Amino acid sequence: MRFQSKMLDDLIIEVQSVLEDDHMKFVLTAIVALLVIIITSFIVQKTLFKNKNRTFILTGPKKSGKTSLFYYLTTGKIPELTVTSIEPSVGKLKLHSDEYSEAFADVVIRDYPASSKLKNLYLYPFLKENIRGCKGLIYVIDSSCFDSSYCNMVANDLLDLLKITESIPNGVDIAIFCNKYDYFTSRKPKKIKEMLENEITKLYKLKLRNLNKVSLHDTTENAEADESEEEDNFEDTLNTAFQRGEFKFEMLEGNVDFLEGNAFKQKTEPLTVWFCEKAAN
Amino acid sequence: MLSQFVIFKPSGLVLFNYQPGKNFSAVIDSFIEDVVISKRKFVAAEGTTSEIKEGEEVKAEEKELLLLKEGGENDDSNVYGSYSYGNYSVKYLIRTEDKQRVFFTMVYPSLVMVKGPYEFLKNIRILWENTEDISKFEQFFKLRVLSIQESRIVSDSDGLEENNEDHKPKAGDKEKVGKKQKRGKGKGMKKSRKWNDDGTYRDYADEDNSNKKDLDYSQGKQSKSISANLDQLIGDKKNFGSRTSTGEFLVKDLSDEMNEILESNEADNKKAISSSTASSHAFGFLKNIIGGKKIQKEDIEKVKTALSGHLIKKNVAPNVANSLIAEIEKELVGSKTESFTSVEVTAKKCLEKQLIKLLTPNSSIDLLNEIERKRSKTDNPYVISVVGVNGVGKSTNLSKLAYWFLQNKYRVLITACDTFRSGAVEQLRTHVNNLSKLSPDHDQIELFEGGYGGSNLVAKIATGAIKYAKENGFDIVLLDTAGRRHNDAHLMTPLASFARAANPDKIIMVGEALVGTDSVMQAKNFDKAFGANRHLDFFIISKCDTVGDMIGSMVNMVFATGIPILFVGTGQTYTDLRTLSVEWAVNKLMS
Repeated sequence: MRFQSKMLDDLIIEVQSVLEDDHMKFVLTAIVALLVIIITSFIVQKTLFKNKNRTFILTGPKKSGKTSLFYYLTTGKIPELTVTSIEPSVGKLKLHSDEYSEAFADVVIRDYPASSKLKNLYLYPFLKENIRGCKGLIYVIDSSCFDSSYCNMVANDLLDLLKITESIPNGVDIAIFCNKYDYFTSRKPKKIKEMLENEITKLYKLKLRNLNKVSLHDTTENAEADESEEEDNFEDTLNTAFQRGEFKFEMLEGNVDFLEGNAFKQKTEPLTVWFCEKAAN
Repeated sequence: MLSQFVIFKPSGLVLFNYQPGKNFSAVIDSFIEDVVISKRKFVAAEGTTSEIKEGEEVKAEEKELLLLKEGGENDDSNVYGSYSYGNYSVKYLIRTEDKQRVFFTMVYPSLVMVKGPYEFLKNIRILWENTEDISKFEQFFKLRVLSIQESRIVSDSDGLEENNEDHKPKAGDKEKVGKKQKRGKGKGMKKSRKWNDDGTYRDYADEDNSNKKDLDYSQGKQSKSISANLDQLIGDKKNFGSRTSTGEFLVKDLSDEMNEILESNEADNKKAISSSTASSHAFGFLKNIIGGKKIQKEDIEKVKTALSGHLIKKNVAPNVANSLIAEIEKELVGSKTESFTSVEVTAKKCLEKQLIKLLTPNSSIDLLNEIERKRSKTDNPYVISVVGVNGVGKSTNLSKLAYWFLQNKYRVLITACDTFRSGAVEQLRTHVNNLSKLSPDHDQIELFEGGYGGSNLVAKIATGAIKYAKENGFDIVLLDTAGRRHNDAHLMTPLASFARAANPDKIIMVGEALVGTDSVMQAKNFDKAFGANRHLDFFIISKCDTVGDMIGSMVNMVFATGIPILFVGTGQTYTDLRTLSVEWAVNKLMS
């Protein structure tokens, strides 16, 4: 009996030691497993959230033909009719010439609605967050009705956009696509550029005289310091573009090209060339 | 009679376009702008349908909607509505499936009566979803269009018969029966179909026989009316038959196929309703934490009260808060939460988006630019008039504006159009004295006054001031009006004649941030006061410094009228005027 009990004791000790060892192993493996999970999740998140695609943004005033151009660029077909867009649409660039198609495999085009309410909701937040992934901006205008009030609207819009695009070094390249170039009433891109430069110069002077926006710290005492700081920043980003108070597109960090074409008649060669240039970089 | 029918996606791509004549996409664009983007249900333009349309038709439409609702049709995935623009009416159906919206819109002249437009939209939707081949759908569609056109003629002939035979049911009764039948059998527009081809009338009779069991009332009458209709059918058949261009056999095949689709869909719907009630998952509670959860109506129910409470705390009127939240509910039900976000966070984000959308103005207003533009063109001064309830700070904000204009080297004429309250003119004189001392050039600002008197004096002073300003080279005329209670018609009516006489370039309403629920009615009534063609241009919200983050009255006023806020007053001094920053306002509202 005694012998038996001793044997039993030994057995218990042995089992305990094995158990302890196993316990250690279990803890270790658990820790390793956890680590692996955490690391992979980090990697996955990084790769998921880091947008590898080169993004091009399509924007512009109402009825300039953005959606038509978007569908032409992404599907090769022109829709028979389009109405005001309500949501942004995303698609991959698809060019007809095969020689470039591989270079453009990762190019994504995003079409944004023109309504100012929706721009505040979709376009500006997206731009502010993904400005570095944005390789270019196509601003579509209707050159057949480019009068002074249209020019004013475009200039206002461009100023808002430039404030964001010029905030990073080298800026974002912009193509101003003068749609419907072949109409009787259409203006030439050169004239449009000149008009826009004058209008932006005028607007910029007015903006400096305008009232400040109400800011978060406005109601508190130390509002002055914060506000002036903000104001300075905003001026800095665009100030370099104003040579002797005159606005010139050449002075911007990003390149601005004026292209002409007609998305409704499949005449978008200048835009294709522009894409090739940007993709080469 | 149907001017255009368009099916489109939110990306702006038109999937199907039926357009017998001119392109009316401008009407559809404005419908999108007003209804879908700005959520403005009614835009009171001149000659809207509500004026032209007889009450009866509106009632009939409402009844139809109600019927659809009873049939479980008007739930969140199918939204019906109407809109009018100029001389055209738009009836629309927004179908949401898996978060993908498809819009069905029909445009027709307001003067034309369309029978059962919603029924029509519903049927087109079902056809659209069940037909893959677009050319086939087009044929179906044309058949449908013919049928709604002819249903009008049917109803006309009914009226004629009624005079001849006394025992015939009234048109309204018959319509009801017809609708019952449609609902019961799931064959919309059955009655009208019989006019398209000759084979189908038998069909109709069969259906009637089978219906006799459940439709126990008025069956005798109905069979009589049918026989009467049949007699008439023989007379008219050739007429209508020749109208169909595709040939009769094809038409019959098509219409049979079409009805089959419509019928089977109805049955599917019923099944779906019964099965959808039992859907819960074992690990649903986990999804609440780690995200990826499909949001159900019950989940939102909990968040709803919290969010509306939050908004009401911020001084948003309860009905405004509720409609904002209803909007969120519509958007969220059926969508999935993002990873590691709960339903509450998702709903909050959604609310934030709604507020941004609401507060962002539709078109940017650049006052200085507009003044510059007008001054460079004409000699006439730029006229700005300020209106509002008593004591909201009209004169104060007027002088703040004047100070800003003076700094920009404009010559400003302040006009005292408050001829009612004693001391009003003296108050303005004090401001003008102060401002002239502050301005770089002392004769930059002047006061134009006409003393005190009745309401007819106001218009006289205003026109006098504008004339004086033109003669003396002033750039801007600021008209200060008397404060008035918005619900007192006696005080509000003179505003219309005042606006006509002075014809201001901008009419600004000053509203205070302090006021609560009443701000909705204030904004609405002031917006209405200037007549049909004139609206407020923008708001100045004063006393924003006194309410902290309870700036809900901004939301109320914009929601009620759709008119943007341009400036906010943030203090007592002349420099305490700021333009509104939407970000700032939304941050405060959400904090």
